[in-house]
Amino acid sequence: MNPRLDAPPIAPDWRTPRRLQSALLTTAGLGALLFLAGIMLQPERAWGGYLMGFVYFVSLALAGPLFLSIVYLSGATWAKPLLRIPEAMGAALPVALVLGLGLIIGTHELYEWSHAQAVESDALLAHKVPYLNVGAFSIRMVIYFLVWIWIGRKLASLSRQACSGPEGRRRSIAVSAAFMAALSVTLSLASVDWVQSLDPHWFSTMFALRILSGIGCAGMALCTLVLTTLRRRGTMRAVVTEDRMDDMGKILLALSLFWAYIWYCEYMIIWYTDIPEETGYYLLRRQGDWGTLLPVNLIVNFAVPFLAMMLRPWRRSSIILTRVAALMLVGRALDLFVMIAPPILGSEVRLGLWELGPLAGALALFGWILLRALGRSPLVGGEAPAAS
Amino acid sequence: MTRLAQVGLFEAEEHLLAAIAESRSRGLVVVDAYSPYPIHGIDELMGIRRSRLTLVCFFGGLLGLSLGLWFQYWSSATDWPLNVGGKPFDSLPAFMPVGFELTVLFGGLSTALALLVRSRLWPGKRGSTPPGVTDDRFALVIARSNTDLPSSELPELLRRHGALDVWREGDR
Amino acid sequence: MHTEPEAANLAPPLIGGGKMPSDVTRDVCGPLERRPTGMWWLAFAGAASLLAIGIAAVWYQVATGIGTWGLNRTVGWGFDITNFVFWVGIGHAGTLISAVLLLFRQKWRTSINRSAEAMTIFAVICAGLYPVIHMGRPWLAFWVFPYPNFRGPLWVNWRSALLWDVFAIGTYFTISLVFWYVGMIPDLATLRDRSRGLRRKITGLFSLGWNGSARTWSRYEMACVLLASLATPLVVSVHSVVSTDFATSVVPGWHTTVLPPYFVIGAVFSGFAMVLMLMLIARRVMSFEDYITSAHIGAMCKVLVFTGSIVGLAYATELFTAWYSGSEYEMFAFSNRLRGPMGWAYAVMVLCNVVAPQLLWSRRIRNSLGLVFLITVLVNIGMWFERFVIIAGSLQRDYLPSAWSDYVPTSVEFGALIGGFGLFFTLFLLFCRFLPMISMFEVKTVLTDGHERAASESDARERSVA
Repeated sequence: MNPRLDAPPIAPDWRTPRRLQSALLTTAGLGALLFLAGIMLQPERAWGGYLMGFVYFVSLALAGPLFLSIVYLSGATWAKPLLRIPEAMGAALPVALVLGLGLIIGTHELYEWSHAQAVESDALLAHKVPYLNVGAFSIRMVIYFLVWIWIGRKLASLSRQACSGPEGRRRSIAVSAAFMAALSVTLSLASVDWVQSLDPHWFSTMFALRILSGIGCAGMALCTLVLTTLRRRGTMRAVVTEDRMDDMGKILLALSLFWAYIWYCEYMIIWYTDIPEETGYYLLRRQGDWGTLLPVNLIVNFAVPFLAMMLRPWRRSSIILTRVAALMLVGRALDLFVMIAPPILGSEVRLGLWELGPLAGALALFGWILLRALGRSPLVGGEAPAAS
Repeated sequence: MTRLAQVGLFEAEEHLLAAIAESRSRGLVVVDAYSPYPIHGIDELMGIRRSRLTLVCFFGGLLGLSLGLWFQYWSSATDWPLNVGGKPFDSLPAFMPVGFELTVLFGGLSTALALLVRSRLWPGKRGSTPPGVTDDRFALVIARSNTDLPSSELPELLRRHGALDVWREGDR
Repeated sequence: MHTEPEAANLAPPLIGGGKMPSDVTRDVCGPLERRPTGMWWLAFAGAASLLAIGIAAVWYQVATGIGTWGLNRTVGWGFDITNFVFWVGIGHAGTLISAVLLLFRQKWRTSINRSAEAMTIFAVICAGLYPVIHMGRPWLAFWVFPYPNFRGPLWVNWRSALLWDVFAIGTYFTISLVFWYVGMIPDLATLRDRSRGLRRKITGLFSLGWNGSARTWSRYEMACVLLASLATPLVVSVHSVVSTDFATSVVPGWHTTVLPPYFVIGAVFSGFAMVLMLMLIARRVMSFEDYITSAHIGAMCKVLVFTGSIVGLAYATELFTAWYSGSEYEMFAFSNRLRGPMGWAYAVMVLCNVVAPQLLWSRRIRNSLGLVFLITVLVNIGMWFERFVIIAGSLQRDYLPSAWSDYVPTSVEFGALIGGFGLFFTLFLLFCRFLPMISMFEVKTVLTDGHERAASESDARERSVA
């Protein structure tokens, strides 16, 4: 007898929260208005905020199919009942493409390599022209998104049908492997295109991993946040057990450690070697107020989540788990800020409406899409947990 | 305390678990159970408290980290500051690898040591191991704590759950 | 006892042959209690002869001097450090299988984790020897430790990546040994309870009076999880630290920020290839076909494809970034790597590490043990070449063309290389003879059908008695 049928009825009471949805939509609209105003008044800062929002948005959207493929490749059956959340996250990818097309308009404000004059007077930039030019940038962006959307959709639909049986399992594993392979190449290039080329003279082979670790942290933090919130509202209590929260807490701990490892390796090697090609990147980010943000970034993204999630009772407390996840989401914004803003703002740290407006707008838009996608299908379907 | 403990030898995990459950529900003391491999869920059944080895591991690691960082700082910035490659005397980024390794070393060694000490395991220790429990048998030792259950009930209970053999502790 | 519905319906059993717990004990302990087979003696003789070659070469080198090697002022690291990095890498799969897969609850690890961990320890022993030999005066090796001395005291240079190696390798060896030994205590007790005489005395001494008490098991499992959680970041840190030997330098081709994770994934890749190679041999020689099934081999093949692809991605990233950097030194270093005097070695490395494992996508090839074996051998060769290309290849052509030089390894260096394999296989064969190669107690926990059969059989007996 299949024990699933004995599982308690789950999640009949989930309904998209209308008030929250309209609040999110209002925030997104306000963000868009601020951004439009910013383009007139402070174009560089507004575009900087837009880029932060865009990268954050893409990170969360990509985390969806990424987690699905990890679950299918590793055969982590325990996570299967929780997969509605990453499936819904991936639904935001088409909107991310639209945001990306918007970014193409802003290349001139953001990227030094898009200035013909700068390229002429700079041999290094001239060397990079075959790769760093607006046409190639746009084409690559479209290709990345088409690949992600195409495989991501396939993965989500396979996951939603909950194909079990050897044939379904084989198919989901094959699609997951395809996604991983595609993501590894596209993300390596995309992180150079969108973020690394803000400092066009600088290069680091580690950079894509920094973006990837950020995707992992933010994506998992968001999944955790959604699941613990649903649990506290009474939905999914049967699925999000204390043991599951314990697992999620451990994953958050591991991801924050991974993020710190990647960050430290890159920083230490550049600090240690101190060669002019590379060291300028951290020279800018260690001076003045940026220098203050550097340790703050480490504390928010690593020290606090790591230490908090070491404690078993804290992992099992839905309130503390929620707060840690929220902190990691804030941390992601901070990390993106110290990655993206210094070449735009120069030596002075400025964090105001021009940055926060577009960022908050993008995140609110993501939240709205996520909740809408979650409302479309029952939260727990297909593969319910094994009774244990 | 004269407690007459009874030992029962079982052939299957399920029989052992059932015997433990009944013994506990009848108010008997489950002295210990023996098995060739760790049994999932036996801790809750026997009421074994969660081990606190995690704390030992954490503080061991913390000790290793602080000692490691302090000693590196003291020896390269205080005791004999040497300029190597123009790096600052207190090169924290360069001290992290050794600090981390010592965290793991101290944490791991203290955990293993604490396991041996708490479980009273030492080289050359001679203990009584019920026959076959390191192969494919399971053993249960139960004792009476209150007097309202006749002592003859104990072997009876064990046999009812499929014990192959029952004897009084100390008899063998 | 519930079984997960899917696992019971779909996944093939982890252990074949419908084994019962007592069968496991007999199958694993049996070979240790019999006289060694002719096959074992043959293998041992082969391994010991390789070891003898290594000892002779190293003896000659220590007695005569480092000049017996082909190193010169430009190429200061050659075979020695290549071997060091290669062997450290080999060790990593053992920790990964025993620790990471434990944390991820991958049950297929149970029949291979013991020998993989043993492999880790032997590989780290091999690795540690090369830097010591390279010191030229190995009897002064204790200078690497920060002990109070009469030279000031003059402390070690904590900012040197070479010193980080000492701590990383030292900790790795210690923790792996502890993890391995703690994991073996219950099985040593099984051996103790089966044997008499001297063997009983020895196993009795090392099994620490283990009696399988539930209270001890509870603590024991906690300790294993804790050690695994420490070993997981440890294994990542070890090869990261090894990579900083190169990454913290200014040598183009050595200095690149991705090197720590790049080395870690390469280590996992080569280590898994070595584990798979040894498992394919061991299941044949020790007749462990029921324990190391095609499911295990398939799972390890998938890990090989996965890690091999990441290694390929890392190679591509290096090339792209070398061009993207626009730095003439970076670009030269990589064009030299592809087309320079060691271009052939780069080609070998790419063919073996990136192309060969891609064959494992095919189920047909995964099921053909001969081809899998061949691929694991190729991967091992390729990963050795990867380190050789990085280390010697980058040094050959550095900033100053007048200092360029070539590197021709001597027979003494080949002797030391061969000796490493000799030592590794000798230790591994001794391990197969004297210690339980398969973790009996862990395999017993995954024999679900065995438990159920035991229960139903004894129920049937009871009914017939009644």
